[in-house]
Amino acid sequence: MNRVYIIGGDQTDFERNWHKEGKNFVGMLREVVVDTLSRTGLSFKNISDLNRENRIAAFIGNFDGEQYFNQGHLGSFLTEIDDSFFGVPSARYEAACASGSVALDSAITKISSGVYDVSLVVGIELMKTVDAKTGGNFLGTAAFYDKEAKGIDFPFPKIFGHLADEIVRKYSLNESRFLDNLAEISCINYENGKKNPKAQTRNWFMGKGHACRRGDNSNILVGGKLAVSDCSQITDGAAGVVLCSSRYALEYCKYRNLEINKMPYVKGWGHRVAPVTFRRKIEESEDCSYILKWTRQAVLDAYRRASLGVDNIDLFETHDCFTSSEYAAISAFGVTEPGEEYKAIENGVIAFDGIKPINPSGGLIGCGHPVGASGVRMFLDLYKQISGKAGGYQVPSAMNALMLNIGGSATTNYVFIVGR
Amino acid sequence: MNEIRIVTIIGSNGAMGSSVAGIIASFGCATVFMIARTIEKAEESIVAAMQTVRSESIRDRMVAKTYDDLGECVSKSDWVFESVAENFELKLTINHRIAQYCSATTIISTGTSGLSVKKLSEAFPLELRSNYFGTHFYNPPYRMTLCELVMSDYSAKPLSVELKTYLERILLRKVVLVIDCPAFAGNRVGFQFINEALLKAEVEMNRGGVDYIDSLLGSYTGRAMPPLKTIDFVGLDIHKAIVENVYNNSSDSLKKTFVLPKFIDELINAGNMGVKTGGGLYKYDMVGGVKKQYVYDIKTSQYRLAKNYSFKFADDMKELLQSSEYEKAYTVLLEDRSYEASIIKHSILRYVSYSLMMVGTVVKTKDDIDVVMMAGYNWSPPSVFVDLFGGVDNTIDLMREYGVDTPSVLTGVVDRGPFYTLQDSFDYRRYFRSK
Repeated sequence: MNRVYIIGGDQTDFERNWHKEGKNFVGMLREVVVDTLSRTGLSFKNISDLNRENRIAAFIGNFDGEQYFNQGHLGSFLTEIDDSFFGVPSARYEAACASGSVALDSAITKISSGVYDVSLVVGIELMKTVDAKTGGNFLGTAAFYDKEAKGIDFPFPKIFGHLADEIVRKYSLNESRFLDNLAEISCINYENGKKNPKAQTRNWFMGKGHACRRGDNSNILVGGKLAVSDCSQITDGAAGVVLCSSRYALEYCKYRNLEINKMPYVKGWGHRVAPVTFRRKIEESEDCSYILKWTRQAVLDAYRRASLGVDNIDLFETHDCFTSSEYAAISAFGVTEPGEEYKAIENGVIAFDGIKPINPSGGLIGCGHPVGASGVRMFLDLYKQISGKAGGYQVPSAMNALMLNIGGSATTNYVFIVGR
Repeated sequence: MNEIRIVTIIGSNGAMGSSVAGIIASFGCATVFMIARTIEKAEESIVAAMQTVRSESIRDRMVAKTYDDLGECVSKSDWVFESVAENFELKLTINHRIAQYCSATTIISTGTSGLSVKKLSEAFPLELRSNYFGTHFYNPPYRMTLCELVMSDYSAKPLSVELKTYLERILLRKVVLVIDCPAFAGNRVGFQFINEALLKAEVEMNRGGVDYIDSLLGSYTGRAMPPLKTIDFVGLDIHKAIVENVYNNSSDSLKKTFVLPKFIDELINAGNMGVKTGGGLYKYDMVGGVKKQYVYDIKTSQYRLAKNYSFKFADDMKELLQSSEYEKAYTVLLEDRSYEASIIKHSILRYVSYSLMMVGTVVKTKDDIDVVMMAGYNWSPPSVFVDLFGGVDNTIDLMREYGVDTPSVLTGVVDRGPFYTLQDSFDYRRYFRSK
């Protein structure tokens, strides 16, 4: 298998509301593609040249274009951006909130298997086209809709509220201490988001006092024990990255006088799918010490493929759609034993300046969660960290970084490790 | 500078007083004494402060006080922020009271939007004037992050650096240092544009006046709201106070564009001050269950139904902006030879020219004025129009063609790269709406 390098990429400002700006899906796609190419130094002419030899393909991750903006067949829309995309093989990939990762997976596979030399991967979601309740119902289709979402307002906070309940039950935790831990997770993500100039919440207030006041008028309960402060917020956004083969990486580095050994590459990956309903997941994991056993397995697969372990990972980007999902991810990564996640939170291990920082970008809670874009956004952040381009949220001397992107209630689990 | 742990806000029941209190109590984690005329008003301002940052968790950090408590509050405070009505005599009186109780290390600032900070500081003994600044926040501060930090001749430079750092790092403000001049930078540029739009509406009264000009200078020209609709939100009386302050207290080269049209006085006298009085340049009414928009017709001095103006070039621009084709949209504008297109081009060129004239006089750099207009007004940065108009040389040519002064910042440019240079921290594209 060929090594897959990452040349670079960009994301849109997740604070923007494209519906308010009166802009459409094509506008967002145009901006993220133009910015991604600009960051990598590639031109539309480069794309034409690569396409002439059938060396480039494009992969669009998107969850729900049909419902949010009445448009399917998104893989074909790069042709609206520039004529150089005429003839470029491209398609849309979908796996709920892990849509970006399934697009990445396909791109990586096509390069590592030698089919293409260059892949443009875009994750994109336009969500502010509808009100919150309607959007919540759309997102319900990422669960087993008829069983878990139909007729329920905001089904996902409730599902991840059940995860919080299950964590307390399974590990016999003190509930108030656990909720304090979740509040700390929220605060860390908001705080990290303030360092990220493209984070949705960079100007929002969050404090421990606020996060702990679950149930008051400014922090209402939305799913069991979970309140608004425990939730990531949906937003409009897109992220793009360009991946390439060793052959192209050598050409690229030679032309730009760069050292290939400093270029980040994909070291490992894991992809596991758990039973679709949350109840079946919990039933299946009853005898397992991990609450989300297939999430853990995807992490182990990635470590094995990369020949790395948790000790080698300098930072994590995780899918904190809710604070409870980040809590469960801590042990899935191997940062602590299952049931002891609180230690990593209380001892500052996962804080920005801790020994295993989680979500230096702010994660989904701090940076924002345009669902189909989040996987690519995380991957882009791994690239930025490993190449030393993360600016205000750079983790010093990062060599290896791991991301976890989940779809549904940790149904689709994707893990990538990027390093140099 | 002392660590800012205790802050007194004088005039906490004003919109700006309560909003800034919310920012200080939340991001700043400080105890805030909220001084209003009555304890009830002070309590109300605490509720308003919580609402601005959407958090009840800050309630315990705010303490309701009245002017009777001013001495005690000031003597305990690291920072005293005076945010009473925009009235020089009133602010001066308050400053005399503050001066009796503050210590040599207390920071004192005024929330003025354009009064002389130097003159206000003269209420203090000489040794305290170095601690006095203007801190001009923009409304609503939770969303609009600009704070103009105004230095007077007495302000201490090292202290201003520390205060700037505090405002930026702790209170998450975009801070621009401005000199002590009428309306400072943001309102100087913003109200020049808005008032000249008013004057244009008067000139164009036969073509429709107010709504005609607003339809031309709408969101697709790089602003959240059309300029004359903005006046209704600001308040016609406030607009008048700001432009008259600039007109009376500056020797501005565009002084004539700060003259208030007579019809604004007529509207003010009739009690039509804008949104706060239920109508100003526009009014809204429900007719048969449908909300109808009425506009003040300058020609007849009566309200009439607002019109839906349609101009081919503007429709084409909006369609291009919908799919983020910014350069193409502005090429359409540049190439259109209609009367309406020329009004827009003149307005934008004037905005660019006047903004850049602030550089070296009111603010230090071109980036400063770009930040001011984005973070304070939600308007496109002036510099980006230079790029959209085809670069420095083309913009200079256009300015000459349209009779607009060419600022030295533009004529002195050597580097022919993009003129707008803040794209990594401020994405200008969000300010161009397809509306």
